[in-house]
Amino acid sequence: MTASLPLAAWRVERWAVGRLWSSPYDNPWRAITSQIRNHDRAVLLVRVFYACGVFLTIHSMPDWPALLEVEGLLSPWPSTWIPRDSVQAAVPWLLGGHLAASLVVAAVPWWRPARIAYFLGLMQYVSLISGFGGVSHNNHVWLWLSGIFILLPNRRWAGRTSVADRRYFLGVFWLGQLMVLLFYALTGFWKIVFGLHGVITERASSFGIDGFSLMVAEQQLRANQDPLLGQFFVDSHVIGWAMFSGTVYIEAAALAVAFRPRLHRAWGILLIAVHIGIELAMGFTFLPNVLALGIVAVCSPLAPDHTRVSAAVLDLPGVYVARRWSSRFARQHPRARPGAAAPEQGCVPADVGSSAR
Amino acid sequence: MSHIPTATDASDATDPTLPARWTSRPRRSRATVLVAVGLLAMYSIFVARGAVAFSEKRSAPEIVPFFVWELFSRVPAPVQREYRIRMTAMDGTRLGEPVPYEETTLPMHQAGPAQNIMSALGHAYARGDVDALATYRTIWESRYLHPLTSASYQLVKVEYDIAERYECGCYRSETVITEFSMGQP
Repeated sequence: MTASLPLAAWRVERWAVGRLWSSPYDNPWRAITSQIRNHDRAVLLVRVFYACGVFLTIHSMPDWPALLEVEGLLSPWPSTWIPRDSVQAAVPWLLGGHLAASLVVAAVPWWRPARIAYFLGLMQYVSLISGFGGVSHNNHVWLWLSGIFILLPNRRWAGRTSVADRRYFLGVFWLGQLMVLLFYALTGFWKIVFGLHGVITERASSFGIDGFSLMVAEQQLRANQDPLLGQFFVDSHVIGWAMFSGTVYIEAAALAVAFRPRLHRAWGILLIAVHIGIELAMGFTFLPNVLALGIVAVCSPLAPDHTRVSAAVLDLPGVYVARRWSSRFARQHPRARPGAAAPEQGCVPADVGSSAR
Repeated sequence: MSHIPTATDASDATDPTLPARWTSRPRRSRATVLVAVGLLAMYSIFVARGAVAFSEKRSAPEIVPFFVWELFSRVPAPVQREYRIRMTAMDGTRLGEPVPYEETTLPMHQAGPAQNIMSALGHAYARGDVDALATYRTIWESRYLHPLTSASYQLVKVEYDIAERYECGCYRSETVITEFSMGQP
């Protein structure tokens, strides 16, 4: 029984590595060299993450005077400790704690208690601003990353490190990447589910030509916004449909991209482009998400410095599966395709064992 | 030099049922994989619960920081029926015409949750839930009417066609349900 969990984890990992992972690191020596470089980059990126945390805290401060005067709260569970009749007494402590933790963790990100305090402070802040009619999802990605980074080593990150140290640090960083990309994959997943549901039930569907235009129009009316390209997307159904369909692919495929380091940077840029599109069409954006994508995807320490376009294209979700299937078909039916080449290396599980992951 | 855990650190290190490629790894690396798989499993359960809720036409369960991430995926029905708030007086000044809240210059006038509170106010009023109405009014007045010191506002039920309203700004029907004054029962 005690071994069942590790065994299940091992099987999931083996499946994920065997079916999803594709990396250019096939030489152990190169992988170890890369690991040192990747580790140093990951350390810097985690420092940048916590520095950006201070920025986000300061960015939220214009709303604090109003928060200090709220009298009622419908808090999610993390803030249920706040007595309903003394919200105004608790809020200053909560905001002050959040600010202090942001500053401390930016100064000493390697100190785990500081990372825990930042996570708890951010959780309280998110819970507070979610107590006025709807959960604020603006900070969820940032909150999750701060929670995952608690797992990073509780010691100074500079100086000599062993292969195991570096591998662990990069493993935690990759876990952060995985969760961020999972969230985008879920948004794509639901778009597909509700789009298909609309088609099957013959109701309005996001896959319909005018579906996205209707969403944009409704959003503008609801919040009385006039985004830069709002009118354009309301009028241009086909362009809106094409961009929405592209967004669905980019988002739904994001989880697989976590296993394809060659695509990390490209997907980071594409997902940020999706946010830019949302800003242009609907007039709002998720600033912490854009920052998080910049840190964990665009600057991904696992992404190789040089990537051939052809190799990256072969890693694309969909193309990768087709490549695997065609390779398997060629192996099973050698006479059907006499000139078929041997399967390309690079998607082999050995990548993971020896590479930066 | 920090301590580097070895295979012997973990209780499952000598378990013969586990593959050597797992047990020979440092404990911390195994823990990372366990956490990753655990988080994915938890999220899978959460998403499954969300799917069940959607199939029953309920909103998805949300336990901060778990969220099903269903965003911008549903096309709204062409005709909308909802509760809105219109301001009739602000800081002691009576407005000539009632002004929709989202057209005011108040700091939170474009906030998404404000729409939720308007809707909650309307539904609480419709079912006669006095306690819920008082709670939502307290939140509305202290959060969304900040920094006003006095105000009066109408709770209105509206019906509109999205395309029509986008062109002409008009509603199919507007019904004033009631009027409240800030801080007064």
